[in-house]
Parts: sequence; C-alpha cells; structure tokens
Amino acid sequence: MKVIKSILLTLAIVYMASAAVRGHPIYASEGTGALFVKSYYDGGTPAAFADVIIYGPDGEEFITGMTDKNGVFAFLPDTAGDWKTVIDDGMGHRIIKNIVVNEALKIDINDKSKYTPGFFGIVTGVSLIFGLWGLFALTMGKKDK
Amino acid sequence: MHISDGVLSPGVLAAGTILAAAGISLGLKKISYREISTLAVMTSAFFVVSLIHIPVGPAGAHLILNGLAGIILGWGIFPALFTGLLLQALIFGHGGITALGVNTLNMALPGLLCWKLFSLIKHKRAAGFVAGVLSVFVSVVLLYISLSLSRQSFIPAARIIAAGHLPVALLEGFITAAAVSFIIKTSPEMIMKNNAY
Repeated sequence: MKVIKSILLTLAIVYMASAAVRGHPIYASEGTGALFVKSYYDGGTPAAFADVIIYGPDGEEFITGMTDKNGVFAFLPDTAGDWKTVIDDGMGHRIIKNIVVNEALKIDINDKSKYTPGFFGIVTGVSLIFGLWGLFALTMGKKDK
Repeated sequence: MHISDGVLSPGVLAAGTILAAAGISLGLKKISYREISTLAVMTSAFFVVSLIHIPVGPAGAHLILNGLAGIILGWGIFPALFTGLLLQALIFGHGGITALGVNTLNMALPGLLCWKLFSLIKHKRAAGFVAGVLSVFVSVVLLYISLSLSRQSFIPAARIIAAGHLPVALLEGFITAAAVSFIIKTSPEMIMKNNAY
C-alpha cells in the first residue's frame, strides 16, 4: 500500500510540475529580415560596444542595446515610418541617424551626408580660415588708421 | 577628442561656452595686426591635422597640435582653435555645435598652459617636447572632467581615452619639439616675442 501511495504521490508531483511548465511556455523560432545600422569612426574603425537606443515612429523607445564588435546593431521594426537611431560610445562621440522604414518594413537607404568629405572639405575649410582672418585683419587695419 | 552634441549636460555646456567666450575675446584683444597671418596658418594647421586619423585605442585618435599652437599664439590660441573647431563641425560634422565652447576650452586651455610653461624652461627643444606631451594629457583630463560632470558612467571610458592617447601624446611631443627647433632656426621672433609677455 505504501509503495502504491508513494508512486501515486510521485506521479502527482511530476504531473503538477509539468503542468506548471506548460502554463508558462516559451518558444523560439528563427527568422531573417532584421535591419541593421553600422557605426564607425574616421578611417573606418568600427564603433564597437557602443550604446544604442532605437526610437520608433511614435517617438517611444523601441529597443536599447549595444553594437557588436563590428559596430553593427540589428533590429526588426514593426511599423513603417521615421525611426531614429542614437549611438553613443560613452567617450564623447554620439551620432543620430534617422531611418525611413517603408511599408514592406525595409529601410529606404539614404546615405547622402550633409557634410563635405575629404579633400574638397579641407580646401573649403582652409580657404574659409584665411578668408575669415583676412576679414578680421581688414577691420583691424581700419581701426589702426 | 571632439565631443558631439547631446552628450554633455546643459550646465557643463553653459560653463564651457562662457569660459571659451571669455578666452576668445581676450585672445582677439591681445592679437596684434602682424600676428593675424600666423594665427591663420596655425588655425589651418589645427584644422587639417585633426583629420589625420591615427589608429590607436578603441576610437582611434588624431594629432591636436594645441601645444605648438599655444607656444606660438599665446592667448590667440582661443580664437584660432574656435575657428578651426567651428569649421570642423560645419564641414565634417566633427564635434557638436553646442559643444563648441567646451571643445574649444578643452583644447585651448592646455595650449595656454604650455605657453606659460615654455617660457619657464630654458632648453627650448625639451620645452617643446614637454609642451606637446602635456597639452594632449591635459586635454584628455579636461575631456574626462567634462564627460564625468555630465554623467557618472563615463569614468572607465575616459580611462580608455587616456590609454589610447599615450602614443599620440608622445608623437605630438616629438612634432612640437621638431617644430620649435625649426622655428628657432628660421624665425625665432615667432615664439620669443610671445614669450616676453
């Protein structure tokens, strides 16, 4: 009798334990189609392990995380609209990248930078420097007279 | 070394802007007509040299030349570096517009310190080396202070910046020493005049 009792008790415990597990199931499925942002410094060095905050079109925080060793952060947007990515490396460097997600939940890639890169930028800058200080010299020269 | 927009707290930004503005106005007052061409040359050198990327540390680094600029320009380093930083921010997006004051202060103040120090050391080549090394280190310290006054979590990152800037500091020391020795040979009045203040 004792043996039957203990077998029944064990079965009951196992059943309850498995029911408890069934009550809070978690599943995983794999998929593709995430979008990603990649951040890097001058010279192409990836901004590895930098803090990332992604804001959805509603302006609410959608996901926070960290770039991987290649400076990449991937996420899966759930609605179309204007998304905002903020990447901060904690060392004073921060970039905000606006992303347009279309109806197919893909990114409309817009790599047009508002800045002037390379040689042209250098020539522009140096010219402006000499121009500005030249103007300053002119105003000073007038004062001296 | 260039702090972007949105990183610093409003208090740090305001304090940096006020101090930098004071430095710029003092610098503009102290410049003589004849020094403006030197100022333009040093501004251009600072503007261009910051774009040369040196792959050290996690974010990479670049030369600053604020030690040399300080030795040559004295108080003129404030308007010079401000102009350079403004154009770097507008043309290349390096550093933020709101952080211009803090960035100017962080780079110009060590240069000014080097200018004072340079007049105290007799051996000018050695003084140039010390100024080059020190200017980078003091800039890193000021960067660290600006960041940690804005947020608590910046401390380890700032340590990394300091580590990454050690080779830059040494390189900057050698370049400044070489430049000083060249200037002493060719046109010593460029630095001696300033150091008579």
